[in-house]
Amino acid sequence: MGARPRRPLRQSRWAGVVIAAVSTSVVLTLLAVVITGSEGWPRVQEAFFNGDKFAETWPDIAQAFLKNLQIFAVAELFILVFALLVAVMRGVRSPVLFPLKLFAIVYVDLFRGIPSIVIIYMFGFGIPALGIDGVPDDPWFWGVVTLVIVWTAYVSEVYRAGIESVHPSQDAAARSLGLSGFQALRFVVLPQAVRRVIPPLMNDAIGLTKDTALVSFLGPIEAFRRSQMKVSADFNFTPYLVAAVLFLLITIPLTRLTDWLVARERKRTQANAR
Amino acid sequence: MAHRPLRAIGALSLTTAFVVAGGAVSAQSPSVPPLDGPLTVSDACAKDMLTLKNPGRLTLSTDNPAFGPWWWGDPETQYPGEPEGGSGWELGDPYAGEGYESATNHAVAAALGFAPEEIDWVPNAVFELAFAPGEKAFDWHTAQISIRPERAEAVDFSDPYFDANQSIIAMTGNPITAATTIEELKAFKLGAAAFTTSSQLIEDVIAPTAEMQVFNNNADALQPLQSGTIDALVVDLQTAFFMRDAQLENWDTPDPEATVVGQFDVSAQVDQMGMVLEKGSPLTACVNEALAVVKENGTLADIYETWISSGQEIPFFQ
Repeated sequence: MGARPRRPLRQSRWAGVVIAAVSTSVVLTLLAVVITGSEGWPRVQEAFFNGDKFAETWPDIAQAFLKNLQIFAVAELFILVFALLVAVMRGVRSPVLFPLKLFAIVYVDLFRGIPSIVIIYMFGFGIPALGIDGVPDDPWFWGVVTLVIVWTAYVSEVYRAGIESVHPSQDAAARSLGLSGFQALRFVVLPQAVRRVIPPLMNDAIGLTKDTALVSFLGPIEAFRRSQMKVSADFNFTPYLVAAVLFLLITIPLTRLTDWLVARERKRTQANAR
Repeated sequence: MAHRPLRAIGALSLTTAFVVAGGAVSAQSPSVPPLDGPLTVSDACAKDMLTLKNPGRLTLSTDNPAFGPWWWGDPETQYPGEPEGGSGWELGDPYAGEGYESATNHAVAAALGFAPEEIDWVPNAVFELAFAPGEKAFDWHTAQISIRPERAEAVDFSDPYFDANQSIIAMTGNPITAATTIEELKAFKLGAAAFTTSSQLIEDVIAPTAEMQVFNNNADALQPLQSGTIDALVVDLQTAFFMRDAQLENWDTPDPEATVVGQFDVSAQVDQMGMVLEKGSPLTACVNEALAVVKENGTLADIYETWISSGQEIPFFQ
């Protein structure tokens, strides 16, 4: 009872690490042999993994990638705010505020259901075509607007899940202390809810980084389009690889950040557990 | 992309219009000097000697939808050799043999000994498939693809069958229609379609101060052109004519809504179109022989006269 870990346990853990390393190397080596030994590998390597073309096209595509980052930053900001609004609207219980609830339900159903490509065409090409004075026809604007509209629908459901996961006793306790419904939401429920859904929020943020390429459909040249133009110039696919690497440079750190936030949150809540 | 049934009507009436107009417009022969070559292909390129995907039949390909003046034909009609279920094309029909590229392909096939009924047409849905490594779905692919030395490292090109000039098309009311020099174009918002050399022309030759816009395809680009998001589109001259006459024309009024502002001289950028084959394909030499025959016996010149408007009336940018 309560004895310190004995030698055999520590040894078996190291044995586990060694076995994992060996098995991973075997699998990776097998894959490498099968792929590079295949008949078409030289052509595929030349077409997709061409080192010279990679270096050659990197600067222009990286430059264009800054546009994706800008779109992401602006869109994500609006999405986080609007989605919270929609989630709160979805959760109202008072009959007077029912139109808000209805709006939220219809909004989420509509914009989660329609493919983003259809929406971007309708908004990005359709609205400027109406020719209404005062309505901007800038493709960057409509691209960001489309992303915000679509992703707000998804992210609002994430917030809603978070809000509903907070035990109703929290709300009840807050109200019994004299806080109004809104105050309970603002000071008690939401802080807990938002913390709980940080992983799925980050997940959606990572999804958004790749959706920024949709803006290219409306004309602006960002990383995906620039890499496509390079591919068109010499029929070599390596520029697509450049774009992929650039996106990974953003999404992998975001993923690790998510892991860290989750671990921190778990440590915090477990420390408070009774 | 929105479905435009009007295109089919336009395509049909334009087929007639082009056939009539083609004779009326003073035709320039294609810029190919007459060869003193043979009028038949060599024995090495005899029909049974060819390495084909489907021996005894040709498997040819182009984009779907296929646009005029390169490809005409009605997808609803059953042409000779067309399978029962239809060609699979939503615009244009390669089985018809109508249109510059369509007719050229039929002529090259004939020079190799294949009747139109012996050709199977496969639509190429994704542009990149035409030059992706690995086995191709076709013997050769014809889709207004410009020959470039860099591209020739990934695919085989046939000899050129058409010299294309790039041009600028804009809506009639736009101030860009007054431009006569390349300098004057710099201040405008220009657009081009992806996978065309038009975008290269904008960057290399015009170098505009305003940001260039690139769209998935020419059909997508028409909407921003009409709504004013871009001032003008850069496309090859023949496609510009098709856009002006078939796609952008207001059916209610006789005046075209779009204007072809001008064209670019070959010294700015030469775009020679060639068929695309698999890299190192044994068929390339024979396709070139057949193409030479088609040029030599005057068929290509006839095809040019039938389907191509010379565009002499469009001014060159200085």
